[in-house]
Amino acid sequence: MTDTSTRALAARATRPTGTPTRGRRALISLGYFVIPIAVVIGIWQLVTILNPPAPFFPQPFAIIANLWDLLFGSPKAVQQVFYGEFLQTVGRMALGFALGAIWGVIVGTIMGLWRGARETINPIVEFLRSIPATATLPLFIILLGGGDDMRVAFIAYGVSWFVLINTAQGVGAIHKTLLDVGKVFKISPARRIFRIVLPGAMPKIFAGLRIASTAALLLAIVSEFMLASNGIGYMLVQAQGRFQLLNMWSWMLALAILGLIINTLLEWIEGRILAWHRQSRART
Amino acid sequence: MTSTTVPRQTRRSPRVGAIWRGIAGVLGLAIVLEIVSRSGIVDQKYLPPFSEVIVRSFTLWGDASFRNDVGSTLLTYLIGLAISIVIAVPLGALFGLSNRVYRAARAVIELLRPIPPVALIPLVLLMLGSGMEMKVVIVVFAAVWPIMFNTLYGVHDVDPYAKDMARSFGIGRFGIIRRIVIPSAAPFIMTGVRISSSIALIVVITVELIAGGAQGIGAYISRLRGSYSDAADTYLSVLAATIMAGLIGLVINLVIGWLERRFFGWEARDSA
Amino acid sequence: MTENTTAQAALVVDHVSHVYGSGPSAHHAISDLAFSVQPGEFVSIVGPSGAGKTTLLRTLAGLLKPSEGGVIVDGNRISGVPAGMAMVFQDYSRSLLPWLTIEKNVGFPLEGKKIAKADKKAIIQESLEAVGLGGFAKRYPWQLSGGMQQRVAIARALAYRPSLLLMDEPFASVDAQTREGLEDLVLKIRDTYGMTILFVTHDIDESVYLANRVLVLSRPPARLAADIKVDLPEPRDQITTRENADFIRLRGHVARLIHSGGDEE
Repeated sequence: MTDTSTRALAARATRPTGTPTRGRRALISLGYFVIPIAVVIGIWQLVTILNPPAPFFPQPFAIIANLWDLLFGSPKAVQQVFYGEFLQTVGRMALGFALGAIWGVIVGTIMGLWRGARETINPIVEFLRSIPATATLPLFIILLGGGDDMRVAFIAYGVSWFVLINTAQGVGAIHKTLLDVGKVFKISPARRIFRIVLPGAMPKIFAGLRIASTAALLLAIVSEFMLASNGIGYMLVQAQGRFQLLNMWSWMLALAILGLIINTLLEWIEGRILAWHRQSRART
Repeated sequence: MTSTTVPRQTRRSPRVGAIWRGIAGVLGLAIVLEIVSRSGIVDQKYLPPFSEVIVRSFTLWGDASFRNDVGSTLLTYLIGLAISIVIAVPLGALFGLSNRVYRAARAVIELLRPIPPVALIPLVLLMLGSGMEMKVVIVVFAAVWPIMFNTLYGVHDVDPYAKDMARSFGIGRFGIIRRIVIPSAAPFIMTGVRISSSIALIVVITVELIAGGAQGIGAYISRLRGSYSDAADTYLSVLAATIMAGLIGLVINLVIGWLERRFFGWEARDSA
Repeated sequence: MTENTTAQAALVVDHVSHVYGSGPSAHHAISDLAFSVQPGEFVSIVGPSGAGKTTLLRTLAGLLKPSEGGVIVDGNRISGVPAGMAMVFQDYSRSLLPWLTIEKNVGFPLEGKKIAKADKKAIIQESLEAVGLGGFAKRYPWQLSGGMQQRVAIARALAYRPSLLLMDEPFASVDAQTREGLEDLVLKIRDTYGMTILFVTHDIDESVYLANRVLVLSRPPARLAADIKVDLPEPRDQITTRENADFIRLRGHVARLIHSGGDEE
């Protein structure tokens, strides 16, 4: 997705004329964040109170309250169950993401470094990549059954493509001179890969990782729609089957929050690791 | 041979060597798969011979219900994409032109965007049943974002000198929008449409897969799984249908890419 | 001094030729180049624009295997990059690692080599000071100007403690005044460290100003058009040396050779 476009835009947008102080700017940003959401929630709340209750759109406050209850309010034992659901999803996601990312980086690096390999593998990659990852779920189920290893494999498979493509692009874009530097100073090939190639490609790889993380969450949920016994996706299907709208919305809210947390985490990590990249780009 | 001072990998039109290598790669893989399967190294239950998969991919098209399903999927995809464009372009243009409005809306956007569209399936299923409306709603929810952001970016990034130049000729606000902003943003919008197109197709098939329903490639695959006929044969069909789904997506992508180059060739953009 | 066959030459180019591609579109870059370089010599290599100079330098560096012939460094025929040889590239912005600080960049050649940490630090600091960038250790490349970046590249080469230094049109992308500073820096380094230097350039004045010896290449397929001894007074000075009558004569000689494409005048 065009994440960079919004970031570039935000970078341009946050320079108002008659520049207020940093404190005021932060307050304004916060205001822009909180007020629209409050307005939307407020309207929603009002509508659901005034109109005869539409079952599909419960009151937002009720949703939040319900989620709170589920996670914090109910008896300890029940609480643990619900934490468990979260953890199940996150666990699968993380493991699948890690495996898929490693595989993607490996193959992507090979493709990026050696033109011969890239040209040979590329048609295969392009073709396999065009098969929607979610559509491969039935295949995975047939091959690996309904258990967790199927899910992790499924997630890893879907994730690997994004990482692979971006890694290949990032590695391929590394200037020849940089590689020559490694050779001239007699740096071993292994070191060249870990100290020159991968760091150099890291901006692109990280962009791929961010997309992949979104995909990992999505694939985890999808994998929990079928033949599952736990996880957020499973909870959603359960709530659907029992027409428990409040629960369903609560879990959707939980999902949105989870997505937000993951994205923020990755952005923070990227900010630390790729500070050099941002600053050098900002200069030009 | 090593080249001299050019950056290592420039992606221009494929060189002859690249084409040969690509063909070799595909053939090589095909042969390996065929041998591994037929010789039994990997159980044919898990890996049917490559040739059989190819054959089945073709015979699928002889099945009327498959053809209907493909048609249904494409229809849902087109409707979903069209609605996405209708919603996303004006919104994106609005946000691109007015920074204030964008900042106000950003919070809501950033909260909605991370929600996996497929997570909405249970809800929308309850609301609208398992027909086309449900699918279209979810497709639209997924596909608006790339178009919207690309439109926003394209509109926002119009060359200010071009706008000044137009203003100096006395062209009014709407004239500027029509004659400078839109042509300038058009390539970006097209890129957004291309990205959204692949997302839309993926989402349609996914929804069909999960929510069942009667129509669509995803539904076809789902039905296959539930059938009681010969397991290996079913697997072959599932494999073939899945591959077909990918192929259709590839073809659509190529077509849109061609359209993009044909009409907006002056500003070819790489995918995000 | 003529070629001294009894002392060990630092570098011998043994009838090197190189062809890019094959068939009718083949490009003969260099053809039957042969010369030797004594330790401590400063040799400039000039020639018209074309693939010859860079091809030669890459061959000397071991980055390129020539179609014919070979290169002998310190008595051994090289295959791949020889030890004790450092290189400064033309494109400094692409040769420094942008994610590392200056000092980490300078220390990069020492990666994986068995040197004590304290020694590494000392070498880095000394190399930085040798190029006049002692206080810039913690900065990043993008914070430095082009000339300074090239100094960092030179410091990096120094940190490697090479006996042979190859420089590939290092000052071509730098403005004229910065170039003068850098030229003198290279001379100072040569005096301090005593290494053998091969300096490829297209700038005729620069080639004569810096060197003991100028090798002039012809147009591709590049042959050795001339091997000219440069006997100008040391230390060189940007103003007085360039006014020197011998400098003017030598420079004119080289210029004519290049303009005529390498034919004898």
